[in-house]
Amino acid sequence: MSVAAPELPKLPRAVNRDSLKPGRAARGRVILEKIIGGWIYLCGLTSVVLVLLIFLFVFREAFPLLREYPLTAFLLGKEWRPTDDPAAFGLVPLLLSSLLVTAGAILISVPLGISTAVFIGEIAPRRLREVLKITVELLASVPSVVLGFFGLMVLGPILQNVFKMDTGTNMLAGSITLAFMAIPTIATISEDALSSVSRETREGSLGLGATRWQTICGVSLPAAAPGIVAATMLGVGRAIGETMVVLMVTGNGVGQNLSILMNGPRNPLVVFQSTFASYGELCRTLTATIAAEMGEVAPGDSHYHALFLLGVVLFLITFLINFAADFALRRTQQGRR
Amino acid sequence: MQLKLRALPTLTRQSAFLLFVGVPFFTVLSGCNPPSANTTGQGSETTGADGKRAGTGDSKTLVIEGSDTLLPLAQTWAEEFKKKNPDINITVSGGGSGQGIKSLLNGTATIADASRAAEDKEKQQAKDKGFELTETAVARDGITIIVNPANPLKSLTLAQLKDIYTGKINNWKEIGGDDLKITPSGRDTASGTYQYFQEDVLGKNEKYRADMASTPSNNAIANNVAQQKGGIGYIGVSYATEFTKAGKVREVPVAFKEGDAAVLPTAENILSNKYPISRALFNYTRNAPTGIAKEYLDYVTGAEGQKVVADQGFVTLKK
Repeated sequence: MSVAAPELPKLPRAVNRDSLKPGRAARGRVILEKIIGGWIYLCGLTSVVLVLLIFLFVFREAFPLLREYPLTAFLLGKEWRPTDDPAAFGLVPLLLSSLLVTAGAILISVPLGISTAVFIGEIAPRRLREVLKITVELLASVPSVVLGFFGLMVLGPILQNVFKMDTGTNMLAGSITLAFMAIPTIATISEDALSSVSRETREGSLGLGATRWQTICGVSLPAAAPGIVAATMLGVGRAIGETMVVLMVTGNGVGQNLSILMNGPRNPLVVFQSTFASYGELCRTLTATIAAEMGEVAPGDSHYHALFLLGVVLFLITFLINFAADFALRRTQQGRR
Repeated sequence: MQLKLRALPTLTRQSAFLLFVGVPFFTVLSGCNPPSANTTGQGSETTGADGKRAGTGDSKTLVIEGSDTLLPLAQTWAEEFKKKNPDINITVSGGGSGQGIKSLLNGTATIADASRAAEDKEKQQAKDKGFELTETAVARDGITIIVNPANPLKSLTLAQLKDIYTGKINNWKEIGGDDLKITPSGRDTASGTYQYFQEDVLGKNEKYRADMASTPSNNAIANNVAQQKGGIGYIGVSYATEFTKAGKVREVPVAFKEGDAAVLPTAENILSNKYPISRALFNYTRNAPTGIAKEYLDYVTGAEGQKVVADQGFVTLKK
């Protein structure tokens, strides 16, 4: 897994003599290479075109809503009531839920994920390291519906009893389950970034008399920072776009404290209190709303277009996250030069 | 970009290769599979050899789709009907009443199960496509109100239910229960039960409270209520039986208004209109049913079909 010093490519032990001679075989090889190259190029192009087409499709399906429903009402609306008459398509509760659930997941998964990476990469003895790496990667491969089921049937009731919450399907359960999903991503990629820090750098630090802890904090982590930022962003991206877990675990309603947050007084203390309390209540995220309601809507209905508009919002959020990750990477790069 | 590449593991390069080469390859492969009719929704069940879609003019194929409430009933009907007519194909799937009617409208289903009457909008869409949505009542269903077994509540009136689900009542002590916050659960917007409950219990222009948990199934509501001490939920009577037997939830008697007798949704009480929250369940077809669909609906509304209704815990049609 490590990508330390670049190694010279090793020649295969037994070289096929014929293949080195010019002639039919070589020409055949060149043609084959071209075909393979072209095939891979085509495949790469396909994925780019696909992304563009998906974006175009989502945007085209979303746009008609704006003809019958004002954009400001969508962006500032505090209610999502798609089947009522008149319908209300307010983005605020959904966006707020998505952001808060993800924020909770970040708060839990980033410290845990980076600590895991530091332990695996810097502290653990070699044999333990291999076992841990495999275990963490295994966690990444647990299907989200399984995690969701775990969150719903096991985690929710525990939280409800421990924290005396009214309901076990709440934002905190969603955040914790999402953190489970983000930790492997953050840990493995951070660990790779850490292990790509050259041995000389680390040994130099130790040689100057720094302790192991000082080396980790002062040398290894800063050197691996861009990779760690990228890891975190990938984890965040995974958390905010995740659907199944939040659909199963977060209850899909707008909790009373979320309503207070949206409508209440702009007093920092109240905002803080209700933000904190909202983790014990239901929330209704962008992804879960799309998943729960898409099956029912009639194509062409304004509800249908509204769901696609939510898709556009999700798209924009993902773009922002990627952009931020790229920006952070570049800044760190420049700072080190 | 270069730095990012160096920071990423070699594994990523392998998986990038898989993504670029493997995925299109397998997509091409899987594109060659024969199409299957049984791809819709949860809890679907195919009874038939080959998976032909409806709407292809095949008189031997019935595709039934829609209400999750009706799903167990429709599955049993389909099995029994298939026994009598072994040479036909029947596919039954759930997904919600709205989903079923949508499929009927765009021709992928022959019969739509619905736990609510078709909306004017849907009827208009059918007219635009050149046919009428034709309604056949197939059974009746009570909606039972369930609470956590720890809740000592004796009974509810319709008005109290309305106040709970619109958010006017937030604590059980306001209606003579414990000092405990009410955490209501309901279905999601795809559900006919959601719309029926909104129209019949809340009233035409009332809104559900925002903090109602919306769930994808009757069982999910029952699970919520079983876990939450202050929980309350509305589900089809047939779904409540198992949970009630296991002691996970308790059904609450409901009265029309203060002073009336509060009763449980037994078949007797529903048929004699003593229980306030019951509705007819429908099957919708394009125009009047013909051919195999007519035979099926005749069977369903006949004595044998109605026996299944009673066996499954639903209420038979009025005679």
